[in-house]
Amino acid sequence: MTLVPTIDEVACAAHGDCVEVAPQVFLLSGQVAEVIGTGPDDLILAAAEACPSVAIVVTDSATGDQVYP
Amino acid sequence: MSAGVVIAGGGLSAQRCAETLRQGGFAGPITIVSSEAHAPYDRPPLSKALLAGTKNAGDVALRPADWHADQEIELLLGDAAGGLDVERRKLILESGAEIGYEHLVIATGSRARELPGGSRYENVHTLRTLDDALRLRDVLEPGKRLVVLGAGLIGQEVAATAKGRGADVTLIEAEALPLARALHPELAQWLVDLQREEGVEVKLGVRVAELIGEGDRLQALILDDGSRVELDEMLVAIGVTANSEWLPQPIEVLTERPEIYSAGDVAGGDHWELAAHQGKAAAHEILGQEPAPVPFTGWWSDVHGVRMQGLGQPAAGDQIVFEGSRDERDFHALVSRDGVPVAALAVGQPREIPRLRKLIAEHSSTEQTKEAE
Repeated sequence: MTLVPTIDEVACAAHGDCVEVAPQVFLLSGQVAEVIGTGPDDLILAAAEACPSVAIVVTDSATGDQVYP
Repeated sequence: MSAGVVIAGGGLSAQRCAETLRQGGFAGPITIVSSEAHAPYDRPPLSKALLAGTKNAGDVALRPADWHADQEIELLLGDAAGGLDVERRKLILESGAEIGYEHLVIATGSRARELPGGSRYENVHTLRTLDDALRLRDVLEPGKRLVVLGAGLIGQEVAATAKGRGADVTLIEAEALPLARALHPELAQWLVDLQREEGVEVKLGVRVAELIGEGDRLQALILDDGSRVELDEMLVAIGVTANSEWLPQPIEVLTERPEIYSAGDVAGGDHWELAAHQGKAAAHEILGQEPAPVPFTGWWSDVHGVRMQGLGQPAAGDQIVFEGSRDERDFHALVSRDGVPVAALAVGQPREIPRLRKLIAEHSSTEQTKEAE
């Protein structure tokens, strides 16, 4: 399984928790977080789960299924 | 000194305002004035990871140490806004220094309310600033008897964190149930039960009647039910007061001026997401841009390893529907008024939040439209 995160830009409040969990995947320099890289699946899921605003949508690139939230 | 944008206050909304201005191409001077000695930092970890010891002072900064210098944003730390001359467009600091502005953002936040007669004791604490949190962390040792007065979010989190560090914790609340503005009574009761299961003693519906101290140490509280609580340390977490006394006029009057804006606690933005939004919105106005619509903001809290995420404002008498297991700390609840969803809480179920947010936001925007008509 290869997980791909995307940011729900309406929900993102730029808390920055995703950057703390996975700095190689997420960057906060603007109004909302950006996806800047890839990382292990468990790291991407952990970052998504850490988001207080639940603004990270995680998709399985193999199947196209949304796995989080 | 130079004009440009002066932001009175150095918290989250000040930081959001300054960074939004730079991103929006504002090239003039930006000055952040803060009474605190630290560059803008994030407050939510203060009662959680910082107090637990898993984060340190450097970990809570909102931006890396050299960011403000790189962005040419001047930080004037350790000197609070003390007065304002609106005719001359000068912010007057407590040190007596004056700073001219073209645009002024009032974002001086709030301070913790104190218990009358409590501040004379060295072991009576409040928790609002990074320095407050570091002081409290220093005295929280295993076995210490900590009384937390006030069972709002700060009180709940400190009680949980302190218990996790081995302190003996008593949480005291004047109301019959805590957090009435954020939690439906059944959810408030669930949270009280959770604290008790984790070993926190919770006393509800009682007030402090008398402080028993010796020298500069508070030793015990007498409550208005006659009971006595011995203590080593006490945290007073009974709410906040806006830092607005320095303003020459009410803030609503001042912000009628086109060059004066407000954000954060002084502007009613009393939780993280709203304060962040207001800081950005002030920047958009200065830039002459249409401010983004006020988002449907929520709150969150971590107690005893359980994440709670809340939306909306419940009221007594609302209906509530639970899904999942309260005992397992794995559920969500939807609160409705006259059949309309108004609030929700997810506990250990962040996945439910997007759906619940949508459900409540849809109805609340309908309501707002109705009111506007």
